[in-house]
Amino acid sequence: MSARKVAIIAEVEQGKTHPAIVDLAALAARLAENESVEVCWLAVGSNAADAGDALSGSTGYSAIALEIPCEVPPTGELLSEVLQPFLGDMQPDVIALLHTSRSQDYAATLAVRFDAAYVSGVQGLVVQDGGPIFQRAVLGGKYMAGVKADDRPVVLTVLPGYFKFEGNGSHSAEMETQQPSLPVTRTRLIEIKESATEAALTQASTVVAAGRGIGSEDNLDLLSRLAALFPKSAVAGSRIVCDAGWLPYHRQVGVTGATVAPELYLACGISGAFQHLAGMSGSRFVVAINIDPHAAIFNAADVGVVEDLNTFLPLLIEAIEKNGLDTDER
Amino acid sequence: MRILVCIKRIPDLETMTFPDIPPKSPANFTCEGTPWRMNRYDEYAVEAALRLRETHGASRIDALTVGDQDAGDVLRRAIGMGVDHGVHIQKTREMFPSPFTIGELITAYAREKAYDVILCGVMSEDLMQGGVGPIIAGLLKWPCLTAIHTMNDKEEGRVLRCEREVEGGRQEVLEVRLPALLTIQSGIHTPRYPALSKLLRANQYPLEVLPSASLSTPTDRQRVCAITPPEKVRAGVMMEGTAESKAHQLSKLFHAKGLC
Repeated sequence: MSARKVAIIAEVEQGKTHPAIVDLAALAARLAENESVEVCWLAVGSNAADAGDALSGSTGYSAIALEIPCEVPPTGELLSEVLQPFLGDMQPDVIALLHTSRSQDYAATLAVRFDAAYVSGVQGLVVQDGGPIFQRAVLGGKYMAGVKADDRPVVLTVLPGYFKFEGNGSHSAEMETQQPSLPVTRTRLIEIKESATEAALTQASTVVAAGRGIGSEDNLDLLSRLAALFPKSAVAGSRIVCDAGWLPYHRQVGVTGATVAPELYLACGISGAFQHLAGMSGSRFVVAINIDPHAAIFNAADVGVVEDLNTFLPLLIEAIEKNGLDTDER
Repeated sequence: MRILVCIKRIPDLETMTFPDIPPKSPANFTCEGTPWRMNRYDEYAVEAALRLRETHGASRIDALTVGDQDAGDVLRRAIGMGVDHGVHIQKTREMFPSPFTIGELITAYAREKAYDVILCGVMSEDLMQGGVGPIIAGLLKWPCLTAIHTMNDKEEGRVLRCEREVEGGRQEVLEVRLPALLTIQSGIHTPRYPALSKLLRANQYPLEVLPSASLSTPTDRQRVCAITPPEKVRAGVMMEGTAESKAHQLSKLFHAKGLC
């Protein structure tokens, strides 16, 4: 049997890529455990050659750089138009993209175009005879669904942080640069406004985060009082809490909000959907408090407490205050 | 301007009970006794459509759902919110349908209808896939913008200016020449609550009901072959004891780690 072909798409902005893009090489390597696999990077965007060189150099996989000279990043529509002829020549069995806002715009279009299956938000892989099974979270992260393509190619969008490329960067692999012709598109990126995320949140040592499980806006007081007991602390929220208007959007942690990596992440009433986990998975120590013993957050926590926040937080605040006094007296 | 909003009826995840060990076959996964409701992101899509009509004037908004015979109630809710017409594509209930199956059915309905905009929620809360909308765009060869929270009409219904939040909290402003498909992220515009009088009228409204087989025989392309509990990515040590004792243990732990 001939080798299965894997194309990895790397969106490039002025020669730079998302830091997790190289990790898609780890997914390709996992696929190669069971069958012979041929991998090629398709680096597409402005100064794509720089990114193509870096990616092929660090992974040993060949690369094609598709140069799109422009100031602002190309839209998903433009990327898919530029990529299609190259993917058509290559006929890959797997097309892997990083799961980003932009890739969601065009990954499914590629699947339609190449008569492929489409699995978004991939965070795991089971390699077996009879074809790989791609795992993604469902039902608020309570379960993982294993998805299999029916005897056809598959387009994947892979969540950052679940695969880790461990190789060292000293390979020589083929790299070619192409200047694709640019089609007229109906979408245009007008501007990117910089983040309003507070430095106080991204630089906090302790983040006390509120989820829907806090029940009402009034309980934010408890969270603020708890946060006040920790130095360099901040109160943050999940998307749902910000949507409800309980906290402003610049306090949101998650895939579209801020990414935080504090010493302590105290998740209060957070269910643990992957969109939220993506924003806090780098935290050093994670404590989750939730009344639901099956909440997905407990799988992503170092310590879990199943309690009602209304009654538990006052007890915790009291215990910390008292413990502090004990220590001071000694 | 003609607008189609695609909505999904989902089991209410907050009241759903989840077995520790899910059934071996995904086909045996049921949500017995769980109340069903409109997907929250789709409520935002309906709200976005209504706002577009309010700013643009002469528009007609259709809402469409694919689901079993009970699924019509989400269309009535959408009509109660202010949508003009409801289309119910009837199909046997499946907990984990392929997004291509749903996407092909909606595309088969929408293709001849000369819509200017199709709106979907950014994803369903139960399957969290965000697949159907972009697949419809792919099938219709329309541009697709995902996770939009604000949109405004420009050039009298020929161009929409859209905003979305991307990684790192940055905001993107994009423009798209219609027709286009947009998926709507929850956010700024809280979905309105249907007025009682409108809900009563919606209950009388004759929905357009179409058996799925009359539209298309879609190809699944893929299937969910297993449902498993998630793997732990951290230790997840559960604290035991009374609430007081847990509070005390946590406090000691924080002090021992020098966190407070």
